[in-house]
Amino acid sequence: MSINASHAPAPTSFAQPTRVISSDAEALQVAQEVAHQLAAGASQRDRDRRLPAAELDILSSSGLLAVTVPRAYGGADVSHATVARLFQILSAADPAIGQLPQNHFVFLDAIRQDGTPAQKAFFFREVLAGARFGNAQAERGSTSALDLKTRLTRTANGYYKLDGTKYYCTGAIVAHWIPVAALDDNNRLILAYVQKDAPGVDVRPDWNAMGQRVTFSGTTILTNVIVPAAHIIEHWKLFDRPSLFHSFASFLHAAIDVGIAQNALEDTAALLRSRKRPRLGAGVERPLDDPHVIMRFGQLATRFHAAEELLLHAAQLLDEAAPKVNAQNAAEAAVAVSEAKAFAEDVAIEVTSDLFSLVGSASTDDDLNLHRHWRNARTHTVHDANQWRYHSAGNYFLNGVEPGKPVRHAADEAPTLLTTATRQPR
Amino acid sequence: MSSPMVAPKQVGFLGNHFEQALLKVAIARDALTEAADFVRTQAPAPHGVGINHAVGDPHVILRFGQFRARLHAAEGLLARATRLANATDPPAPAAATSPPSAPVLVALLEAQAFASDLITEITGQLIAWGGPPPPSRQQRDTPGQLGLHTATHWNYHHAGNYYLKGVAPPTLAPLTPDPHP
Repeated sequence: MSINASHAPAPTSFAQPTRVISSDAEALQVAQEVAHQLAAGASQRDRDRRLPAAELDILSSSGLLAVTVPRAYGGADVSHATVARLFQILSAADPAIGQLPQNHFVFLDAIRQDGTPAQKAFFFREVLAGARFGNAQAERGSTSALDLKTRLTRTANGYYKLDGTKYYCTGAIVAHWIPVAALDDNNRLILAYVQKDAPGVDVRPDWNAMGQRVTFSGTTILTNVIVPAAHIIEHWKLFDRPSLFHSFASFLHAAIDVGIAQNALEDTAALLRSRKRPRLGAGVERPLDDPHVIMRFGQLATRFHAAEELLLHAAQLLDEAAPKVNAQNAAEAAVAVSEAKAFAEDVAIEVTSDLFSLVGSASTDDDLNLHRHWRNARTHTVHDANQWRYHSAGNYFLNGVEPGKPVRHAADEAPTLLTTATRQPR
Repeated sequence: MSSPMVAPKQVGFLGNHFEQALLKVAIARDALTEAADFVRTQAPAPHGVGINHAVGDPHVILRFGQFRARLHAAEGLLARATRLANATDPPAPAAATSPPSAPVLVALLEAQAFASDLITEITGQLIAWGGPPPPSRQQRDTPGQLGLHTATHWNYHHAGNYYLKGVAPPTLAPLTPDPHP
């Protein structure tokens, strides 16, 4: 592909200076500071469905959105464990703001995976300066993630134009660049990084989900959008080799769910400590002395810690595999991510629901907006079915079937030794 | 964590609590292996649904995914306790004479309770699949020595009491050195 000079990359101009984070420890410290700033307004933003533009600018200028830029390009290239902590910390403060940059990190990785040296230099510089990536991948009415109607067409004068309609465009509305998944003239999957304010890009605030409200994961319409070759990533190449790309994306979702669980568990503890009236029939002086409350809270805390550990386990496998990815370590990391993601969903749903039974009727007061935790958990966790996450982990363990491949059926599944095995008498 | 998480073998208060947690995680791991062996070699296929072998049954596969995730989580809870102990508690031999700090103790109780629940659930599921009664290891170790079920709820209770009110859990007696190693 040649770069058409009249459509050469145009850097984004930023009003505010952006910090450059240089270590894992610094990233976590900054994350705590930013989370502290975000936490107080989370409930009101949810109520008002208010676009968190100012909050995203805080996130950009904190430098947190550039922590996975490779060191050779001036980034901190932090570990997967640090990225998970970062997402958990932000999501425990406001899970919608935690989710907004999920695609940003994924499509930063897409450039790292298949970008040309010039694309890496340009886009990594953009991100270090504070740029945010959104996303425009999914299409309503398609039968699979690869069944896309959005097309990138080469024009007579050498550049490209993009047309299509996308939904679930988390991050697009607050992005500087929107990576759009499309098929090119050869039916290959590409990512076209278009500027959000480019002519023909229409990001609509039509997201009306019950939870994760201020992610604004709605519609993006692309009409005759001009794309220079320099902004097109040959994403299809990724599918020809083992990679951690899709596992990384799910891993971030798992961290968001763990953050939601943390947020709800902390609120549950604070409410229990402040409540004076025990539950009916408890026969104790105060809620904090109710053995059933105490036991269940301890169980939920344990399960929350277990979810954190599964996330850490997945992070370790991703960190180990990253320097030299092969089919084996990619499969093992994918399974660990599936386990972390599915279990995080279970825990997030349990904690956000049991908050009400543990604290009692007062917690259902709409003014407290405690149901946002459950709405957020339920909305975010249905991103993909947790049964199939567990299924994929079970099939790998029981049958050695690598994740991501179609589920085998019984007829061609049973290994030879099984067909000859006889049941032993009991 | 794919390899067994081994805490330093030590005597004293901490040693005793670590022994309990290690043992339960190890039993859970064995129980899962035995359940998988049973399903691979002996379990009947589901009737009348066109699936020829139990390992191809989506509901069986789902359960194994859940168990495997929770086994890794149990190993992780043990690793968490080890990290906390290394970060906060004095190293041996001081650890032999002073009780573990409350956060470490609670973390170990969490690992024990979580692993105990997993053992109970795997062995129960195995019976439901037509498997043998609790296999040898659990039969030998489970009932008297570990008192799995009762302890589980009280372990969670201790954790809840600590996180909600800062109440430290009761400490097990220290493990004394074996006079005839």
